[in-house]
Amino acid sequence: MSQIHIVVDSIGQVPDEMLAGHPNLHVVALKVRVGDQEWRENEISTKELFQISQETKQHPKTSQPAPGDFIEVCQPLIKAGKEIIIISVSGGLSGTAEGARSVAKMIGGGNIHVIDSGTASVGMVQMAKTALKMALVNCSARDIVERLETIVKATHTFLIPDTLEYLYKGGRIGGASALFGSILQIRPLLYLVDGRVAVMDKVRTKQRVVNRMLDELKKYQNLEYIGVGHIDVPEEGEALRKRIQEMYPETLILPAKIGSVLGAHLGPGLLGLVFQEKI
Amino acid sequence: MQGKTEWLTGNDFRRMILGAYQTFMREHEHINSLNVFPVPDGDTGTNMLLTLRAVAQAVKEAPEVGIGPLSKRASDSAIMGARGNSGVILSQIFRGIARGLAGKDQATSSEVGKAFQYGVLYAYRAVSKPVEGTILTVAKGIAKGAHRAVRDGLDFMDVLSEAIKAGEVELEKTPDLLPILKSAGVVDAGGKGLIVFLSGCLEGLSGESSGPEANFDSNLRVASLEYTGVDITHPYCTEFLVKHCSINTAEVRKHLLPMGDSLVVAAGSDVMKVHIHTARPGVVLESAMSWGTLHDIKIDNMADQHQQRHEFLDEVPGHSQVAIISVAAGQGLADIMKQMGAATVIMGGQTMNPPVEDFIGAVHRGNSEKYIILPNNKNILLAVGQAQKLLGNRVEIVPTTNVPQGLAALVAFNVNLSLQDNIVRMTARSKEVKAAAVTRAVRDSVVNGHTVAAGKYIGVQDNKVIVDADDVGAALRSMVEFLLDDEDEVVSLYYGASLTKGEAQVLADDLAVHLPAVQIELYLGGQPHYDFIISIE
Repeated sequence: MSQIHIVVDSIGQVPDEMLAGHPNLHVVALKVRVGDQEWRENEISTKELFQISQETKQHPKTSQPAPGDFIEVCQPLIKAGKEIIIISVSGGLSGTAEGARSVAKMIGGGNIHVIDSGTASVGMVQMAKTALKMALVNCSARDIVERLETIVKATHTFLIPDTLEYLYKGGRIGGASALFGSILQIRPLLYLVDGRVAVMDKVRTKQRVVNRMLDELKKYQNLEYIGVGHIDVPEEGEALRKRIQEMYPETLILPAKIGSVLGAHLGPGLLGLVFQEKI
Repeated sequence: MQGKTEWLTGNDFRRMILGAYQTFMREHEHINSLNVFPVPDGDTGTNMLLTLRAVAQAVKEAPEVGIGPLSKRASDSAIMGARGNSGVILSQIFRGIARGLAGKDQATSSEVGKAFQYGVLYAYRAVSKPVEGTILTVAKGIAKGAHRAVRDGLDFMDVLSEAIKAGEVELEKTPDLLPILKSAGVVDAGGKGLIVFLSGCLEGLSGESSGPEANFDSNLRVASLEYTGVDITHPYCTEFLVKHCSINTAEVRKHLLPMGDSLVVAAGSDVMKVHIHTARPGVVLESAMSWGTLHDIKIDNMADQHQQRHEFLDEVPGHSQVAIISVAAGQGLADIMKQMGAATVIMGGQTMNPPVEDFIGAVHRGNSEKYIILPNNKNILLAVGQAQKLLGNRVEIVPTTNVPQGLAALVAFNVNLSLQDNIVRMTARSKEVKAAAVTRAVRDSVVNGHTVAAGKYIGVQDNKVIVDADDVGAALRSMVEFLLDDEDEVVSLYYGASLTKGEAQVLADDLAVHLPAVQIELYLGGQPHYDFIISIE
């Protein structure tokens, strides 16, 4: 039994079979609510969430896990003498990393390490895979943390929201807030810089912004994987995946699943990429 | 030393928590409205309320009677029920309090005061990079105030009063410590939440909690952030102290209840603290003056706080490095350019070339280091060149020769890029757009071998007449069809002062029927001479 356990928050959307296959892998859920209804991230789909939000005319709100949610998972492990690595969604988007660090101080005694992934979705899953592989061959937690920190720096996230409404109302849009509510229909290409949403470019049409994103992707030739995500636009997601597969026939292309909490901040119709440079 | 003989029991603790929860039910939306840091998502109040709800529910139903075990239960439920950053910090405060009261059946005023100080310490420790100007600054003030009051041997209610006062002093300072608060015109939401929490504890302890029994199911209303959703019937948040008050809290409450909502009346040993949201603060103060002397009077217009917050969110950020000066004829175009980030729009166009001093004036009036000028017309390039000569390297030109080019350049402008990168990108993007206009021929002329009579509608590209027609709609359609390629996606039409919105809409709809493959967008340009300015991308 591994001495090192990995905890990923639900923004990562760890696949069920991966979770089932690794007894030392755990998930802690963020929460989303509309009015006074609340769900853990995987208790509601993005589609259902947007529908309820529309019906009740209330914007969805999200919350990091309570410290107790982390403690429930971590405390028994710490008591059993395990070390824990928590991989969290970007600290620029959520307080989850900060909350996890509080828990590490409360109960960790130096044995809980928090990695701010600086990204989301499949980016976190891939980090977890690396950690699990290293733990399997008895690498120390310190080595794993060091490796993950390098991966964090080599991981990039691009976003094309269909609407800026969700980023704006969720307060996650930062410097791009001026774009919201402008008369002209603008298509921004967003990316995460130090984990925060920033504007890479703005164009007028969807086709052009997708092309613009792929131009930007082309600047990276040697990639470990490319994750392709969408929110409730499967055809557009598939078309994007195909184009990328043609551009990178040798590269691993993965689905980047987006759950209801992340979805609540990005809105329906989003296209996104998470990819990692080879290191 | 009265404090030595005063004992607080589990029941007192329970009353404090329930009081705090009830106070939060009244105040959380106000706290939401202050929330701009760390992310302006407007739910600090709701998050603290939900965290407190978990605590209040657990404490209310708890079988424990001792203050120690009860505070432990409060701490556990806060840790499980915490929502958001502010909730996590609140849960740490409960942890500290529980630690301070561990194993005690009842506690002295000084012990409870110290437990609250523990709470602050735990909150501080929980945050990896404490930022001043936040809930932590307020918490520190509270700890200091409580420390002084405990040292002076005050009753616990007075300890709480002093702690709140000291916290309020720090709360007022938060905008000076955290610029984002200052520019939004608010104090820190979490800090305010902490004050509301303590005020609620005081209120609960003094048995003065107003309103219905704490209801854990239906009283939660989540504030909406919609601009239009701000409906404040009692806009003035009015707070003051009454010293040597001649009537008791119940009577004060009876007098004030009809005058507003969110009423809090809390009594210390010889001072009464009053908080009310009212439409008539003068009437409230006038009444209160007949009961005793008034101190620390504070009246805020909560609508201002809402308003400032929204202005803050709307403002174009970080333009101090590079700003854009654009040129347009027509208010509609000027408005669009401003929305797209132009700092100044100088009125001018084909027949109305703005003088050089307009550009120099715009630069001198502005507060940016550098300027990018978009002339948007060939005839204005010269004046802009002159301005650049006079202003030196503070000014760069992206040589746009028509309005669609100028708008394309504006769309491409990115505050995060350097001046040079912006110029390269804006210049390139301005060349990708196809531009034309529809106007009327002012004289007879020969076009493509046939005569176009004065008064006919013509489609113009680069000052050349390309198409002509008897009516504006036909000219528009021929012009667009002439320009359109397979890759084009959007046709933007800016209608001029000669057309009403209704007329323009009919023509745009007609065009959309004929050209189903592209998206037709219609905007008010308001320009003279040109019925339509056409932009194709």
